Amino acid sequence: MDFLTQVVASFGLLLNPTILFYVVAGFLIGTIFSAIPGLTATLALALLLPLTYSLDVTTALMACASIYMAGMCGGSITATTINIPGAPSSMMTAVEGYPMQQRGEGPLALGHASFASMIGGVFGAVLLVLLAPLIADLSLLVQTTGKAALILFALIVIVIAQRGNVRRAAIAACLGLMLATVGLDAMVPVARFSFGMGDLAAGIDLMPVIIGTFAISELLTQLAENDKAKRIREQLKGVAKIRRRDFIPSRSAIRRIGAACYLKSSTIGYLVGTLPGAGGSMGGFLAYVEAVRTSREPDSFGKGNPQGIAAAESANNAVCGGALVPMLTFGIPGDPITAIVLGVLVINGIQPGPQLMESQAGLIAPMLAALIFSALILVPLTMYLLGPYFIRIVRIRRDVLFGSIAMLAVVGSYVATYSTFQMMMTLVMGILAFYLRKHGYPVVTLLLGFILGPGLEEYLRRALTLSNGDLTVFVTQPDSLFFIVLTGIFVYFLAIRKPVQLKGGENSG
Amino acid sequence: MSRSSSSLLARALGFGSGSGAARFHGVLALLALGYLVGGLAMGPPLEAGKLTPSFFPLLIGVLATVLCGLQWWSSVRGAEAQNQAEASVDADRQEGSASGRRLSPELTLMLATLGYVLVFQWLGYVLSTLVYVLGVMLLFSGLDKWLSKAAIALAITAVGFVLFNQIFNVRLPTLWG
Repeated sequence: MDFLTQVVASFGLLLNPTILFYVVAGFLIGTIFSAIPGLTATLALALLLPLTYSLDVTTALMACASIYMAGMCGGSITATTINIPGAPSSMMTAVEGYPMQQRGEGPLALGHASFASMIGGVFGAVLLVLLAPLIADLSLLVQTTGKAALILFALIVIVIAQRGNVRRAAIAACLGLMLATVGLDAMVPVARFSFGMGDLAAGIDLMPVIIGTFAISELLTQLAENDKAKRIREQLKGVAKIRRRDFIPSRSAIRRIGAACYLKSSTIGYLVGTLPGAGGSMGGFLAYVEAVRTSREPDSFGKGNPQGIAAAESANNAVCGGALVPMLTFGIPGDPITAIVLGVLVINGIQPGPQLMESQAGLIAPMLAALIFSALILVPLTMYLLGPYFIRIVRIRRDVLFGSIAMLAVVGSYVATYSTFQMMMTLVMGILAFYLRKHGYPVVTLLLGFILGPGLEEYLRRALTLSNGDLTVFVTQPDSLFFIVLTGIFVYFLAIRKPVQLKGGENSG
Repeated sequence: MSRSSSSLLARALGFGSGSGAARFHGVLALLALGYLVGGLAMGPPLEAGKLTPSFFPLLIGVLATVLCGLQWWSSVRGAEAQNQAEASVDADRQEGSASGRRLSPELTLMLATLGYVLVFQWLGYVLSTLVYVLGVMLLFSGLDKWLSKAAIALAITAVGFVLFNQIFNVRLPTLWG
């Protein structure tokens, strides 16, 4: 049975009430977490990660997929109602959604956001289903030196994607790589940086790193910004009651936006998603800029133009499909959420890579079916059914919310090994991530460095051992040369070309 | 030593206003250096033509030490420039905060979590979680209405127990072993 048929057949799993419950619950949790400013769907996934130990892995992956999809559209709720994006991916939605809210069209803006999210989400997921097997076949051509060059490419792109913050991002990535070297060496049975501790000799587990980095550091950050959150709560109190019928955009409005806008934005989102480190916010931003550039009425943007919402939201949801391509085919996560999904796979003993689509198609196909289901059914349905109540949900008491998060995070980290060592590790990682965030370090690069580190070390050492330490092997092998050239192109466009433009701008200005 | 260089050193060591960032970057630089030294202690990166376990840590250690060192130096220089601008503001702040030398909420939460982790096995899930959740709630919303907050903390603890112990079959520690 080919992969496409397996995905179609996997929709049948959603008839199972238990699986459907987890998918819907995951979607609602993802929506609520991404709607509350400061919280993210990444945090929701990090908190639920320990529970995947006890869940069937297929169900866990399906729930993860629905959280991911929800995380990309939930942020539009507060972006529209109070001009504060619940998630970074909804940044551009706020630009158009809030002016619409001010002229009394807030629910309509949310309706447009929901419709565009549905289109983008389905487009990205379907493209993923169609293209992933082809990419997996192509990835078989990548050998040891190519894999080392590919991981290096991913790390470099992740670092330089943090524009204006490259040195800090590089340091965070180095910290992740350093943490990854703790424990037994992969090729020789030698313990490194274990300080004689048995727990450390076994290496640092992915779970305390994820929970600490995202949940504990979030708690500490939220506590430090408690006053700001109280102000947001006050703003939410002023939001008028929303009626259900106001959510549905008219056909003429959708026609005015145009099928081309939806498809072009979704394609941009999908392509951006395949790049490591880019994520939903960049996808939404680029699609929005493209919509403004090609519009006949560019001046209408920023004043409540539904086309801007449609472009941004269809792109950020299409990112979900794109970001899963490198994760599934190469084991390279593009953003924090795919990093955690990778964690779910690794925890369950599944190694992503070129063979994954064939050898574990039974696991991957249901996840992709859940991704399409979430985009096609759950996005419009929750917006229509729960839309009027969203503002009330978002106003949930912070002390109750964070009390629960604290319990889930710390107890959750105990689940893996039944030892308090993991809990302590979670706390240490949380404190480190809190101070890193406080001083402007992107902690996602730390996580990606930690995840990609072992692979980078292994392939680098293997490649150099096979070539007797000859570094030129990286330019003589076509696969590694391809990724080195690609790295050069990305460095030029993301890190070198921009300062030249700025200089020009300054000169002219 | 000139006045400006002694001021830079003071900032680098974490004295004076605006030095928090310099201190943090200094700690990171020390960590990276310590890691590099640890890598060096593992032996040479190449032995009999083969790469050893110290190869990668040395590579990362050198990179991290250089980057953290540069970041630390930039922040020390930045703090120096900022210091001159903030000198007058500092004097006011010191007066104002003389009475407010308490643990910051973040530090309190860190210590509370540390305490929770340390007593988790010994006190068991229910008691330790109840106290911890109540503590977190009070940190976020203040000491008022603590009785109703205690009731909510009890409910959260109970939900956590049902979720982990009953639904997901996780063996949580109890006071009775």
